Amino acid sequence: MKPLKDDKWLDKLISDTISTEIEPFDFDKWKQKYPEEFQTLVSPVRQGAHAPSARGQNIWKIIMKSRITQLTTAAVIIIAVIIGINQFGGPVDITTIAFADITEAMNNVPWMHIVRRGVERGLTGVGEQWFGFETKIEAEKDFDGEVEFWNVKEHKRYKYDPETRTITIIYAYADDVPSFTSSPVSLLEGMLKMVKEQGTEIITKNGKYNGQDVQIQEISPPVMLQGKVYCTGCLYVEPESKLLCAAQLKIIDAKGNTVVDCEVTFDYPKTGPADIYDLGVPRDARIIDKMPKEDYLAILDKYRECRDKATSEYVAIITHTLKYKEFFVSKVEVEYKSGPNYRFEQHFVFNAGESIEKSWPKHKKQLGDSYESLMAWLQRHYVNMGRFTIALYDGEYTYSVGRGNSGIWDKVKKRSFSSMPWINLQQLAWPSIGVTEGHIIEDDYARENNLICIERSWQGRISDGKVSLPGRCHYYLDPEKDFICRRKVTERRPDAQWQKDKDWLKDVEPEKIRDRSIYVEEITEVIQAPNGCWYPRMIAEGIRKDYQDVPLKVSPTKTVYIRTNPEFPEDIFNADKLSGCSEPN
Amino acid sequence: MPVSGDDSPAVTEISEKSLVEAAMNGKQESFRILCQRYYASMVAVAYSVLADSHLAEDAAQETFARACCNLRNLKRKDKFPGWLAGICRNVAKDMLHTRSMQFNTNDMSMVEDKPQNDCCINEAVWQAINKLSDSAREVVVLRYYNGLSYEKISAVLGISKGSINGRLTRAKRKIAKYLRHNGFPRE
Repeated sequence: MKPLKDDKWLDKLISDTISTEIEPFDFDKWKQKYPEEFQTLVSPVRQGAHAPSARGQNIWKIIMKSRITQLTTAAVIIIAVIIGINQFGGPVDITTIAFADITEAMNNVPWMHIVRRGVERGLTGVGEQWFGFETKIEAEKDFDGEVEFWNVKEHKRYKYDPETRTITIIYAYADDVPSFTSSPVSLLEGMLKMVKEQGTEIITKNGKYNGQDVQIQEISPPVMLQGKVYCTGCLYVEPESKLLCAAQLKIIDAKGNTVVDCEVTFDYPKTGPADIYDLGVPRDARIIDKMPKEDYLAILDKYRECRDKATSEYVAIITHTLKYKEFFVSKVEVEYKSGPNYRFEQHFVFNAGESIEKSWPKHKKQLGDSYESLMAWLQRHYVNMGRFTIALYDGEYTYSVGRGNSGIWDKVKKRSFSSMPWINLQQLAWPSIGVTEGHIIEDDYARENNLICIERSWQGRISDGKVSLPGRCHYYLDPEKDFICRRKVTERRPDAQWQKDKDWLKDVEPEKIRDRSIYVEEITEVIQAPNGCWYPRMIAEGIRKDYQDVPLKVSPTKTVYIRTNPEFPEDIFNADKLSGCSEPN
Repeated sequence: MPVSGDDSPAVTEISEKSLVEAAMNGKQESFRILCQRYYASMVAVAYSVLADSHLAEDAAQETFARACCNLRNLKRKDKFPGWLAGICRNVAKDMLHTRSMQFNTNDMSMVEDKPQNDCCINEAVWQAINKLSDSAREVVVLRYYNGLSYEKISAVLGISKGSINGRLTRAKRKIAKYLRHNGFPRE
């Protein structure tokens, strides 16, 4: 292939157009995001042999967000398995202790304290866990001496590393907290969904534990947890209190290696640890406090509250305007939201190959510039030949389908999500703002416009010879108007003043360092709906050269038309009635 | 085996095949190295479909999740990057159906007439890239999105460096031609 003559200008042009910095891959975060898949990888069991249900995967994902709820809580999981199965008509003799009573008893305890003695992941020793169901506290002292203490109410997570004698305090996201902190029964119900298809039986008999009369529950055959390990053991229930008093637990992998072999005891004290020091952490341990400030958290709470209130129920039509000789609408989106149900459609105004110049006047007339005219256009477009896609979320699954130029529908695609992965209006007006590494600042723009500015930044890094520039995001929230994010500025620059290591680029060749960039998303008009909430009306996005008052190069713009007291069309959230398809696969 | 976050020289010495074998046997460190080695490539592959960098990063992560579940079905261990890229394309196409694209490739494919003279040249380049075939767009994005080497592109696409060079040259000719026809002179 004959090369182009002197095409460096083209290389630069293409590079300037599409090149970007990719954040280095964070394996640990990925593991947290995909615990189930990760466990499938590290499990020596043949993949797919015991694939859990989609619902079970979601529950597992929620539960597994906490390190504490991983293998170390196997004892609790075993209990869940046993009680869960029998709550739903397992083979336990009804003349024995009623499992409903156990559940009831477990549900009413203020604290549960679990002590494990034996071998766990190659370590011999003692581990303990505390669950404060009313105080919303969870704590664990592991076999290796690590201690974690979660104060769910205060969103604080303390982690003690015995090697460095350091306590690190970080913010605990609400959905990081394991569900069973509310009550053990909530865990039981969730786990049941995963294991009830395994055909595990409970053999019940009377016996003694430490000289006391107990009811013994034996698991047979072993329960497989998440295609990873087999759990076996027995459980001792105190007949009067109906509470679990002890368990013997063995977890083996598919090769027969023992992962856990523990004797577990349970007790139910009235109080538990008040802080991490109550678990034996030295009081002179160094503390690294990474908690965000209270004022910042308070603003974020208000921000989310307003977002959730404003986006609980509505129909919004959003037009996308691009410039080509004159401004034209390239795409019309409509979204319907009612509680957890969400439907998002994007309709393309032009078919592939259609001339914008020739067709725009016709489309412009048909589209109009009001909610009603656009809705009428959408309904016509839905019926007539035209390109569009639909995404539907019913609280558990997303369904997606599209129709192309030829008028032929794709097959419906169905995926499981624990929550709607993406809501358009929220992203436009209340984009996700993380808790960590954020704080409130004051700058001229915020002052002049009575806005609250939140700043989040990250450090530049060099990974695999590639330079990832330091970045910073400024979110300007409007406290007078439901904390709508009026402006979001994302910038990356090699000489960022927030970069801690000022010499970080000294060994990097200059041509490998990209130029600065500033991307601005701005709500230029807002409206107040009859429900009292504020919404964006016009949104502009574009690139700005620098901090100076250089005009924003806008492309594209979006216009929002909203109804907050909508009458939803019949079956609009019904996945079985998605157009063009007989039934979801 | 080093388990540092970066694909350090020590790590790169470990052969790909042995890494894949170890990952198939449940060694997370090996899988970690493979993920780190191919993350940028997968983001670029996804970007060529999605045209959205954030979604592309999500797609790359989802790709590794699916790879986890299916790794043991991989027959040709030496074809791991190509296999991974195949998953990534499917993930990205799935995402395309569920999410709205700001610069949807379909949006731009309809722009056939000449853009306005004062239109930003980067927009014109973007339009030209979107008019390329899927395979040509993919190789362009792999090369320019995050500056991947020919060697890495070759591994990911499963084609020789010469073929990559050919595809890139043809793609660049088309981009240059598009720009010329739309009123953007060279430089």
